[in-house]
Amino acid sequence: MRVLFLDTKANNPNRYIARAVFAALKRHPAVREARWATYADALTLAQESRFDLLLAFDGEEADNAILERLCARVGQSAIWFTEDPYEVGRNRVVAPWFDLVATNDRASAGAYGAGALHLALAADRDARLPLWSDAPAYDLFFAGTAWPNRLETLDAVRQRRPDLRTKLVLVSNPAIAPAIARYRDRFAFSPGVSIRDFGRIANRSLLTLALPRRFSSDPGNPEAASDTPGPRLFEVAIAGGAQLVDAGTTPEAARLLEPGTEFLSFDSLDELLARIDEARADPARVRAIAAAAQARCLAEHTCDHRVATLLDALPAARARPVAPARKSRALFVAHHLTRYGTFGGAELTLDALTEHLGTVEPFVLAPDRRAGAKRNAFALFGPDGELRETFALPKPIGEGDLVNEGFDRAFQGLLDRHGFDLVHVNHLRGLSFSVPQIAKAYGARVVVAVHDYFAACENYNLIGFEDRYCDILHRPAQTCDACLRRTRGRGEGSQARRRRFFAESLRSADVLLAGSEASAAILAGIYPHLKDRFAIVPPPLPRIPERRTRPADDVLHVALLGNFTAVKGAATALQVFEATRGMALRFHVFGRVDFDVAERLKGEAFAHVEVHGGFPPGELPAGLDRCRLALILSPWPETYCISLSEVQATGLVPVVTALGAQGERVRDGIDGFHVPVNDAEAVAAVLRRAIAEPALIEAMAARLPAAPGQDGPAYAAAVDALYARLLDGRTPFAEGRRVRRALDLSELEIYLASPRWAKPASEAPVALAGAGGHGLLGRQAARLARGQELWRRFVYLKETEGLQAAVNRGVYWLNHWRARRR
Amino acid sequence: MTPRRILVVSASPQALNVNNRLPGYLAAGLREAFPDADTVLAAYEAGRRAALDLNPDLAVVFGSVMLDETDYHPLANAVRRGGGRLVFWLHDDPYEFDAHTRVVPLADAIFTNDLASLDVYPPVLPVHHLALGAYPAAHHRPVTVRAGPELFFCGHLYGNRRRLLEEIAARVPDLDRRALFLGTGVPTGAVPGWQAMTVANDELAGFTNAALAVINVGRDHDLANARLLIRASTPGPRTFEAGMSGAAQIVVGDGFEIEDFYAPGAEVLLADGVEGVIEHWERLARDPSASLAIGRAAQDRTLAEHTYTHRARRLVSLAMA
Repeated sequence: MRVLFLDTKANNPNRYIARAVFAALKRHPAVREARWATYADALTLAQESRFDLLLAFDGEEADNAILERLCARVGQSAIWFTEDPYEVGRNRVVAPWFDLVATNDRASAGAYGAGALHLALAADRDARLPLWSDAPAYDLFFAGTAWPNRLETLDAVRQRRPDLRTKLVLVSNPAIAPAIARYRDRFAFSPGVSIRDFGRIANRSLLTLALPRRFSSDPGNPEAASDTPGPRLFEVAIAGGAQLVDAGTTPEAARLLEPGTEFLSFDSLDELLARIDEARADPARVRAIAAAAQARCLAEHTCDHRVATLLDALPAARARPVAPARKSRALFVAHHLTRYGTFGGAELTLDALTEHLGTVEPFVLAPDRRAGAKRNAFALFGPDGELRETFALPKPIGEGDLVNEGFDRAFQGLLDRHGFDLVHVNHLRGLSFSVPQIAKAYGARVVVAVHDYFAACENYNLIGFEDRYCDILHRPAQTCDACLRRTRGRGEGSQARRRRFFAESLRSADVLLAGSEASAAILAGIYPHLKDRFAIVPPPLPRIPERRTRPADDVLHVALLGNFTAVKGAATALQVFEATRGMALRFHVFGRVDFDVAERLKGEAFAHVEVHGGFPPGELPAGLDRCRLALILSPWPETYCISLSEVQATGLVPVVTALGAQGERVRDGIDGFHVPVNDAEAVAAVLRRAIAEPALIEAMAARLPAAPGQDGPAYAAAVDALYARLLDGRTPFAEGRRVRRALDLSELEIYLASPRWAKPASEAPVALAGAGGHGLLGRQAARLARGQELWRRFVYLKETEGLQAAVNRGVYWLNHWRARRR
Repeated sequence: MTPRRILVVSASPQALNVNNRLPGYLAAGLREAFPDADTVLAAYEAGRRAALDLNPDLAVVFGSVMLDETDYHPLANAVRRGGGRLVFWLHDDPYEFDAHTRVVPLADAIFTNDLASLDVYPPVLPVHHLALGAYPAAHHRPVTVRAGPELFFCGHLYGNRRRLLEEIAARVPDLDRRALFLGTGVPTGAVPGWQAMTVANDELAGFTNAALAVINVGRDHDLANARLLIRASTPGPRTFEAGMSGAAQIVVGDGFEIEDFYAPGAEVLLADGVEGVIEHWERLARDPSASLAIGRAAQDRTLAEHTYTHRARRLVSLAMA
């Protein structure tokens, strides 16, 4: 039998009991393998291999989607409730999920139906200690929560037997502190002792006192009381302690140990004192009681006995819940959508998937940027593109945050309610970085797309303070501290925090979907433990352009296709324009021109540069037909570069910077040219050569790849195949039918000292300090200047791309500004 | 199997590591225990590079793993590349126990300084108890004279420690002249006898050696122990360093685990609380030779059983099993 074991209370102070039960389970002869699971990995374990039994222990905090899903996926399931009768109300909610229910409380068994099993707690056989042989260190030992009734008894005992050698470990807490204030000067309080220390002190004491607990945490049953023995009865016995037990709790204890010979009891203070006096007078008798209790415990009341009873009581397996008769569901988690405007390749790729995927029903979760949306809201869109639901976060997600509790909880609700089988992270910007870990814990397959290097750096193009690729793999890691300090105002250690969390979070990804080997290699260099998880699937082109024929011309026409911006190498291009004045050349800029660059392009010096403006995705401008060469001068390692595919498809010979996907996809001297980053002179040299050797360019054009890219359906088919492999053998999850508690990150085995990665810099960043000026007037002037510049940018956008695009961009700037302030 | 190449890596960046001497003590212990092995000590920042250069059979990350800035994936990857084993010796259990989830997926085994924590680690990998130790070159002192003070304590003044010192002060009116309490957490004079200052690890041995009686009391201050609220059981790291210095320690606490390391009465003195501390102190004041005798016995026991060389042997035998 293979058994999956889960302590339902992820943060269980009684974890040692769960461990003892697990150890007993491993020892049982019918158990071939027992696996310890947590909420983080239980569903993964259950889906990766077949288990015959799920054994859930404790029962507290069990009402969650992960456990219900587990019950539906493992052959048989059993739960051992150990906090009854105090938790019986809550436990009855989850009991129907299981084939067998066991409870520590005899009286509670009936609450779970006819087949429920009474299973008292028990001892860990490995906790046995040899009995004391010399004089005990203490006459009376008591350890426990300092309830007022207990202090009253202990106080009376000490007053009436002042020579008694007592060892008291009294645990207080803020909730009971007012009720026991009058005892503050008469007792010392402590945080308690470990179970090992408890056993050793009991072992070294003549008597160990058990006083009743009058307390219930069940709001529906606040007066609940029970004679069910707690774990202490067995823990003292196995440690070789002699117990003195309040008679109110002995009826059930008497079924387990023999009163008088295996433990002592009392039902009044006078009786308690009499028992103590008798014990001090005859320690040998007390030792015999301890020995008898220990022997009985070893013979009948270890966790091994309880596990055997439970396994014997397992009924025949019942039919599992029927899986939903539908396709698997995928949830795409995105930072932005094309429907909001001003988008890039990541958003277009997402559209291609949601439009063409066949294996899954695609849902999309993204920030809600629709008109009239609430602040800090997110929207879930269904496979038909229609809005399904929205939620707003109580606290916004800042750029310096690793996780956001509100988002993490809402995200779990979505996973539960919609039964997502796969989560595809399109981008995590502005989202909680724990998305992959949470998705994994809920049993989903996880795919993370690599559209840029956001997983490695806030500067997601890896353009560092030198305005070029930082080449961090060949520099000391602390370079990032200097760079982020200068470029973003982040404090030292910020990058280390961010990287560490991504290293952990991305471990939950089944596949990292990259567009090129080059981009995968950079990320694998930063996260070497992930190097085997990359799948290379080139992203889709909006439309595959046709090869075009070009008329003869005395002038060499050179294209710059795509956004003409700093990250696309506009700075180098401007230098190239300068350096090539007077040559038989004409440059054609097709695409959106950044405000800063547009200002510089004005004037006589750039008469040989023709700016054609933007064009819709996939509708390449006719002016391209005149061009022979294309410049792709990005100063960073592109992850794919769709415009490179487009120029190759139309028959242009590319001149690319020698790094990243652009370097990988162009063979230097064969079907294009490599040039160093930010090296205008090298580009000019290539252009001179192209003018001088037109036949060489024609030959290179003839060697361009026949299929330089794929369209949306082909891309979706490749991703479909990937999904099919990931989802093979898995049945879709059912939809959760009611709202229930989301787990916190510690329950998913995620530890964070701080939920933020960004540490404040001790002083303002260099760039910002320069812009900010000094003193109040300086700062106000700087703000005014920034405001004026933003307005000029807005007007420029309105004139070049229209009012809607300008408004969209304005909202983006505003959100970005807000996020940076957090 | 005895490793031929061993790498010891500090768990925390140097600038943030208040216990940055300990990895060096462990490396020295490993060198003494395994003289034929090539043992290399590396700072956290240099761990991955050192692993790539050394190709260790065994790498030991030693220290605290709770800082958000630390990531052991690159080191783990480098160690595994050559087929080596990676173990963590965590010396801040249970106070930082919650951070263990960071290293469980990466480790071949974990060593914890605290026995109580052993009972609650997830049983998904080997976890062993390994108390800290002493390093003779730093902590050994001749036990010949108790130059003073009469009562000594050094450490961060957590709440439980402060309560104890205040209770002593309430019973001993001239404590300022008789006791020297050093450490951090409160300003000088906050408690009679208290002086706010830090002492270098190997200098501390001189103080504990000179004192007639040394208070050894654990802490009840957690930094990351919210999940399971574990109560510490193993005596603190200074126990063994003070033992090596020849101190007469009065160990204050509820548990008996100290008896696994030192014989009560002969090598250490045990106290449940303030009454016990004062009772032992007064006895030593009446009979200073008892302080020397206890100190010498503790030193002998430490040399025989509790050096980092002993710990190194146990660590390697369990890690390579």
